[in-house]
Amino acid sequence: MMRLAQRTNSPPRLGARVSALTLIALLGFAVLGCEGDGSDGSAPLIRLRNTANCVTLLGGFPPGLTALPGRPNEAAVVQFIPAIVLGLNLEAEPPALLAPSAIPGFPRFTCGACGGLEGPDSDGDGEADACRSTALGFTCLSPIAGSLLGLDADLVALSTSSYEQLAFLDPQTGVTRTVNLRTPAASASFDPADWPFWPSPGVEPDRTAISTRACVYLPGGVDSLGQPLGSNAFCDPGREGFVTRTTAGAAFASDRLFVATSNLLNSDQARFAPGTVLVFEFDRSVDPPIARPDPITPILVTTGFNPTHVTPYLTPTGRELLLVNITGAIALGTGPNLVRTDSAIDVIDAATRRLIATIPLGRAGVGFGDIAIDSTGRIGLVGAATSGRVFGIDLATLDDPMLGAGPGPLPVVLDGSDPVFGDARVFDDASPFLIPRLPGGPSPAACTSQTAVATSDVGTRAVASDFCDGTLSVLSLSLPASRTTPIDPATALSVDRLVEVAAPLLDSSTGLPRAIEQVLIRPGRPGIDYAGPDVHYTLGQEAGAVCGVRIDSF
Amino acid sequence: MRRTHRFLLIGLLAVALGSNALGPSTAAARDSSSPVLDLPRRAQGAGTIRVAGRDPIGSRSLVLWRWSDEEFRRIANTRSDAFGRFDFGVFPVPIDGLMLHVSVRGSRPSSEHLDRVESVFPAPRFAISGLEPANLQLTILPALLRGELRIFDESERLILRRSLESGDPTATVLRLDRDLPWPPPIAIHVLQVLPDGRRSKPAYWKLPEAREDTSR
Repeated sequence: MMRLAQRTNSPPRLGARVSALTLIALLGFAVLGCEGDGSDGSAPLIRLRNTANCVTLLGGFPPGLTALPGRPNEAAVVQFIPAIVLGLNLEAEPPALLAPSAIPGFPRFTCGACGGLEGPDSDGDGEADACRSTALGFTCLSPIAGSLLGLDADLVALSTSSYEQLAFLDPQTGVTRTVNLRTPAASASFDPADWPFWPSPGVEPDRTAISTRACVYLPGGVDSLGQPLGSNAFCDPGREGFVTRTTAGAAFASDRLFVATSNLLNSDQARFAPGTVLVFEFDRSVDPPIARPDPITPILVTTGFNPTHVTPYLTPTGRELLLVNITGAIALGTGPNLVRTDSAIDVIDAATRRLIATIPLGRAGVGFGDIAIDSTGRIGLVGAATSGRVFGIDLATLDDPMLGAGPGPLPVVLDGSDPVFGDARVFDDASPFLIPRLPGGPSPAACTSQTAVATSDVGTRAVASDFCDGTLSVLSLSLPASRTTPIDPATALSVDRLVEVAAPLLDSSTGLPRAIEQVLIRPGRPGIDYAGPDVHYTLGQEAGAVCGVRIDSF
Repeated sequence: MRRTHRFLLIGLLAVALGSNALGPSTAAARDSSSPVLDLPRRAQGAGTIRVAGRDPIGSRSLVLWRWSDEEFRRIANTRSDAFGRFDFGVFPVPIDGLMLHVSVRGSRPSSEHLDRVESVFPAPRFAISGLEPANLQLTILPALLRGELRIFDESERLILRRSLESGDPTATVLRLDRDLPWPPPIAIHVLQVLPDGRRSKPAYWKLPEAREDTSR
């Protein structure tokens, strides 16, 4: 969430980035300093200007972009308003839509309780979402599109906030996909009453979304300002807790969906409830898939505030882990000190659904996108939400099968303080990797930047975007051959060149394509496995767009 | 036909063909052998259209161009079938619409023959932070950051205007306890108005009633 919040000065990614992005996006003409230029000044930076080919969407700031599994030439992007998912052929220049006919969007129904206006029915229950929302006491809320998870070539999960859920769609056509909802029976670990948008146990309707609105109880829990949570009017009034909100990124592992909720309470105050990851069993072996909250571990509480994304990671021995971006509480506005609480990468064991480790990164303001894992599975790189920096973790520290399986307390803190499991930090707040600044770009006082990172699945290529400068930094990875040799932060990443692909966020850029957000590198070898552009990214202004550019592909 | 007439016809045809190869063409009338787009006037549903048409000659390579910022950009290729039908596929329509042109491959596009498709202008969305009335903060999310937001109460009375042009990051955030008149309206309608006067569809939001139990 709160990406929006972070970017405040940048036009909000109107959407479930309220999951930060959204809000921030809207708010963003961020004025926040960027740190340094990523260069020590000793070697000239190679600058190139590349004319990208872009497909322009309706509205600004597409909040989600994902590759489609099994389809190396295809991806899906979210159009923010009105919310639709567009499958893309990445080989075409500009990217071409996969849909064979015009995309209708969610069905719309009139809701008398909400002004008599039409509103979307994104969950397929036959009534406007706003109607259902207000009937359950949550006011007339409609879904705001956010992150996208590619589950299959014909199935994606779209996170939406306000009307909190994961909606399922076919990126090949843009139409919704059906799932069958089954609510577990009441037990010591699960109370159906805490999931107000789910059907009663025994009622098994087909829908096109699963609600991520749930009650969380934390005796003695505090928010990001340190204030007691107290009871919540939407949940059991006799217990301390909160109701989840601002659905963020999700991942699929071990036959389950893991969905982060950022739980923003008040953006003015940068006030967050504790972060959560909701766990859903998701059986894709049947048609339609069957979804239900995990009856044993439906909700995990993260170590920090504002979880914004979940990335699956498979260790060399086949253990399925989830890496959760803990962005930290982030304030709206401009200036320094927007990041109010610490960032981390939390590690969840998908099979046991336990939070087994955390990698503290300081006041980094970890970004909202995927953790980009290199082709050898050694390093995970992630961008920043409020600066031109990249952070990294050593995935070899997660290799030990005893991590999280021993008798010690969880989560294990992987900052070198544990004598057994080592230090997973490569680039953190104290020692980040700096993206080079664009000469003549927005001053540090004029733009709060944001970065995203992508890695190639072959070779040593990585790319990092800069929101304010409109650039892609083309990076090379140099990692030790042995997983037992420590990564040297001084040599692990280097900048090959800086490519200008969009206008910088300057007053003089009004009307020009700008505001880079997400970035993808196509799987495969450019020029061998495919001939078209190898890097794609989204732009937020003037209108939303998806662009392809040739970095290593000619 | 007399030889001079035949040569005159051939000459005229050559000039016509030659002018298609120069371009953008300045010819006022579309050549009857040119492919023609068959488009809706307005984007459908969620802002996409299917771009298809007919080619009088058929079995030709065709190029789809987008006219924007006083220049043409090639956005797709296809081939008409033997019956002259062609289909470039589905395209999103930006909020400022699309100006399209189809030409035979190798021919220059002509700004004299552009087909315009209007976009939809969707209603803003609402993002709520703080669900409890004492804590409620509403962020209005327009499709684009241009123009202004206009907020009306349930009587259709304009109660607030917020410019989106200034770059003020707080322009879209409403604090219900600070920004709305007292007593607060029961509900609000919001729409976005662009500098050229275009208006979005309205968005409606009903203010929540106070709940009995809140510790915040």
